[in-house]
Amino acid sequence: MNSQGNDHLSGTVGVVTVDDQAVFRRVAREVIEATAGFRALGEASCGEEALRLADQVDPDLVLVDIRMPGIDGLETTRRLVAAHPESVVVLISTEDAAAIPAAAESCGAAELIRKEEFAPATLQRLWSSHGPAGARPASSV
Amino acid sequence: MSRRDRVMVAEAGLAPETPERAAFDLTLWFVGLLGLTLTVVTMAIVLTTPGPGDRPLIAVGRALVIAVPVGVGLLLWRYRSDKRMGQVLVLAGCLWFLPTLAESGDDVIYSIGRVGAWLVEPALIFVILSAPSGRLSGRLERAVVAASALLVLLLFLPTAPLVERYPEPFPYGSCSECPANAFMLSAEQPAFVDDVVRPLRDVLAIALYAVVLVLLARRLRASTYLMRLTLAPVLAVGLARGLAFVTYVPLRRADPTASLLDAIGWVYQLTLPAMALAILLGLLRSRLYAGEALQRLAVRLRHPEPDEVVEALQETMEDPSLQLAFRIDGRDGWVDAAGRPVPEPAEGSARMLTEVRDESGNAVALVHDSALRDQNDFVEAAGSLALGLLENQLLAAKVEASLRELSESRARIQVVADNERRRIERDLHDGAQQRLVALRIRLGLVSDLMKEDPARGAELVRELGLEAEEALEEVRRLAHGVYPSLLADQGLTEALRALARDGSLVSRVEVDSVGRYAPEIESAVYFCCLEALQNSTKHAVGATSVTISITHDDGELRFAVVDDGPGFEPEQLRPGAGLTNMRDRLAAVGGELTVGSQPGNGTQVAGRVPVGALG
Repeated sequence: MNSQGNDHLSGTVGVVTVDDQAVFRRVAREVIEATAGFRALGEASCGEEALRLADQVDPDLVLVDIRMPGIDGLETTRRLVAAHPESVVVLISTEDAAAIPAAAESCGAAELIRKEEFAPATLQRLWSSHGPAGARPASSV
Repeated sequence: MSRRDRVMVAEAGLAPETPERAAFDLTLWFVGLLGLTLTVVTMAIVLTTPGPGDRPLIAVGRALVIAVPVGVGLLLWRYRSDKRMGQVLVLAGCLWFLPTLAESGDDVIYSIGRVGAWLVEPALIFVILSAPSGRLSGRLERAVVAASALLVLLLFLPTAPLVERYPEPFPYGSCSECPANAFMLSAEQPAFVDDVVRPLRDVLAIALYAVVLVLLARRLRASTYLMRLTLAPVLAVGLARGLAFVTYVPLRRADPTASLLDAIGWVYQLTLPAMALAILLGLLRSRLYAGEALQRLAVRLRHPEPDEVVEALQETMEDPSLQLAFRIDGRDGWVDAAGRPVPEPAEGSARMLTEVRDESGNAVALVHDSALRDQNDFVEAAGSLALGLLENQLLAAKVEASLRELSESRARIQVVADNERRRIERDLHDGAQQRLVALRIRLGLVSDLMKEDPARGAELVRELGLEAEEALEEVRRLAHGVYPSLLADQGLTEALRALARDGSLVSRVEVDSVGRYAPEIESAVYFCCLEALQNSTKHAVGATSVTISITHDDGELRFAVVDDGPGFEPEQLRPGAGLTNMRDRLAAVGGELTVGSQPGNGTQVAGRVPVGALG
C-alpha cells in the first residue's frame, strides 16, 4: 500500500540494505534473492541515500548498519521510523555486544542482529517476529 | 676619536702567561740595563764635576730622576695589561738623562743638557696629562701638549744660537759658576732676547702650566670614586710641579740669589720620580678598591635576577647609566635583556663599549662612561663575571628549549602512533573483517544450496575458496604494513631490497657492513626509507631511479635515499607531516635527518643513527 507508485509485487517483502561496505551490500543482495518471498529493492551506502531510497521504494524491511560515516545507523533508523512507521527497521552490526552504543535500544529499531548470522532463515524470522501481525510472505511469486 | 677608543674587546679567561711574554722580557731586561747605564753615567758626571753642595746627595737626587720613572715604568710595562703608561714612563725617565748633563763642567755637554731640558718639558706635560693610562683623553689635552711643543720650538730653541749664557739658577743643575753656551753662533746676545723673548716665554709657560692644572682639576671633578683613587696622587704631584714652576720663574727674575730657589728647584725636579710613584700608588689603590668591589659584586651576584646583574654592575662601577647588552647567536649588533637593540656609543658621547667574549663565542657588552677606560681591567673583570652568570642563564635557557622540543617530539610520536593504530583498526574492519563476514554468510547460503543443487553448490564453494584467499591476502598486507616480517626476521638489508623490488621507480640498494640492530633502530630506518621512497614516487616527477644506500661506519648506521628527479629549492621546503615524522622517529633513537636538494639535481634524504661498534 503506497502512494508512491512503486511496483513491488504484492506478497513479497521488499528489503532495502543500508551499509557503507560494498562487500556486505553485495552479499546481502545474494541472501535476500536466495530467500523465498523476499526481494531486494535496492541498496544505499549512507544514511542520507537510505532516506531518499526509502521514500522512493517504500520498503517493508530495512537493514541498517550501525557504523557508518555521515549520519550513523542509529540516526538513520530514527528518521526512517519517523518517515515510514509501517517499515520494519533492523540494525546490523559487526561488533560484539560491548561495542554497541546504549542508544541502540531506544532508536526505534525492531531488533539488532550480528552481520555474520545474516541468512535466509534470519530474514524470515525477522519478518514473522516484527512484520504486521498475521502477515506472511507468499511462498511463490 | 677613532672607533677603537669607543669600543674595547676583551677575551674572558685568557691565560696570563702567553708565549709573547718570553720575547717581551728580553726587551724589559734591555731597557732596564739602559736605564741603569744612564743612571750610573749621571751619577758619574755629578761626582766628577766640582761644585757647591753635597755632591753625593745631589748625585743621588739626579739619579732618582732617571731611575725611579724607569723602574716604575718597567713594573707597569710588565704587569699591567695596558703597557702604555709603563712605556711612557720609561721613555720619560730615559729622556730625562739629557737635562742631567747640565751638571757637567764642560761647555758642550752642559749646553746639550740645557737645551735637552727644554725638549723634554713637553714630554713631561704629556706624562702629567695622560696619567694613569698613558693616553690623552681629549682634544684640549692634546692641544696643550701641542702648544707646549710649539712654545719650545718657537721661543726656546731659536734662542740657543743667540745667547751667551742660559738662565741661572736652574732646577736641574747645581753649578754656581756655570759654563757658557757652547752653541752660541751670533757675536753677541741680541737685546730682544732678554727684553721680549724671555719674558714672553716665561709668561706663556706659566699660563700653560695653569691650564694643565685646570685640566687636572676638571678631570678629578668628573671622576668616579675609583678614578679619584687613581688620579688624586697624580694630581697632587702635578699640582706641586705646576706651583713650583709658577713660583720659580718669577722668583728667579726678581732675586736670582734667593735660597728658596734651590728648594723650589728640587721640588720641581723631584716631581718626575714623584709622578711615577704617584701613578703606581694610584693604580695600587684602585686595584685594592676594585678587588673589594669585585668581591662584593661576586657575592651579590650569586643568585641574581636578570635586572639585579645590571643594577649591581651600575653600583659597583658607580655609573648609573651603565648598560648590559648581549649578542644573540648569529646576529650582528647588541640587544638588551628585553631584546631591544643597543647601538654602539656615538662619536663624542663620552661613553664606550667594552665587549667580553668567551671561547664558545658568547659575548656580553658593557656600555659605560668612557672615564672608565683607564680602569679597563676592572670593567673586564666585572664583564667576565656577568658573562659567567649569563652563560648559566643561557645554558638554562638552552636546556629549557631542548626539553620543550623533546616533549613536543614525544607528543608527536604518540599522536602518530595512535593514528597508526586507528588506521590499522579501520583497515582491519573495512577490509579483512568484512570479507570474512561475507564469507561466513555465503557459507551459510552454500550449505542450503548444496541440498538443492549440489553442482552449483560445489562451484560456489570454489568461489568461496578464492574469496578466502583474498581475505588472507588483505590480512597479510596489513601485517606487512604494520611491521614487515622480512624486517623482523632478516633485518634491514633484506627488507630494503624487498622495498626496491616492489617499488615502481627503478631502485638500487647499496649495502655496506650492515648487520642486525635493535628493533626500534631497524624500524626507524626502515620506515624512513619507506617514507622517502614514497615521497620520491609521489613528488619527483620525471625521476627514473632511486638509490637506497645504507652503511655501518664509525659507530653510526647511515642511510640515504637519492632520486634523480627534478629536485626542489631547499628554501622552499615546507616540512609536512611525513618529514616531521621521519625526523621524530630518528630523533627518538638518537639520530638525525638531513634533506638536500638542488633544482635539476635530484633529492637526497639522508639520516644517521648511532649504533656503536659493528654488531
